[in-house]
Amino acid sequence: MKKLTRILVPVDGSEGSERAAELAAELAAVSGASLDVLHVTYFDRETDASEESWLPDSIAGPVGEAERRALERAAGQIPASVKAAYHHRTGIPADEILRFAEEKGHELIVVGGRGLSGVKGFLLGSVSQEIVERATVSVAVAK
Amino acid sequence: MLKNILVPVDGSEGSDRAVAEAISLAEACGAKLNFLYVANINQLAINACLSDAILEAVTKAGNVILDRAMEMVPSGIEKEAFSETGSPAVVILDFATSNDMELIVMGSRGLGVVKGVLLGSVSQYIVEQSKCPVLVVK
Repeated sequence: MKKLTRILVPVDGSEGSERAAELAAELAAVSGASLDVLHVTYFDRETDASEESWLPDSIAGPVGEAERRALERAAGQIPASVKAAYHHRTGIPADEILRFAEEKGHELIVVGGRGLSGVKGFLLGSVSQEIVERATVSVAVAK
Repeated sequence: MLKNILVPVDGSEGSDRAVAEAISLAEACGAKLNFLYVANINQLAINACLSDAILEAVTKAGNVILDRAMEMVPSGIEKEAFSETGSPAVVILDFATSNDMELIVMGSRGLGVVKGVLLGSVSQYIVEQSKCPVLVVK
């Protein structure tokens, strides 16, 4: 089979995605693959802005802050020996994750399993579910 | 890290790919491969009315599938084959729990309703209910 060279782990700052980062790091360590950590938000500061954003800081600000925390939390699970890069996209999470994987040619996507409330993050069962079903590459579901 | 990998097999193309991917993982991390074939037969039906001939045929079919998986494994990797009867998804999860499996590697679709038991619905159930991580091979 094809050797693992690139692993994608989408994160949302939840406990489930922390476990996904941990599993992805383990798999990257044994296979020597590099890791791409991806955070997707529905919008960001630039989304609506041709010149100046109408999104008040109270909304756009926390999005950036949540993203920083989500990526940091994932980074905490990844040992320095694993080569990891951090990315951000805006859009519909499942769509962006799958598009990103296709663009970069990942052989494996590692997602968090269920157990998140709808309030806590976007990487719900439904996003993982959609990725498991629609991905053309293998998907590992962390628990 | 990974010491025990469970690979449910049903002889479909998807399960062959899962076996191949599980082998390279086992090789990379020195884990043992545990192949499990589940004959989709209700134990009560066995006791009640299934003839020995049918049971023997089912067992034989399972053994062929398990043998093929075992043969794909290069020497140096620990491996074992298991055969069970019952509802596949339930049996697979029970097996994983009671044998301390750390990862389940399986295909995304099986043989189809008529031909086999490792259907999309089985993978679906396992992805949702498993206590250990599940790798769905495409």
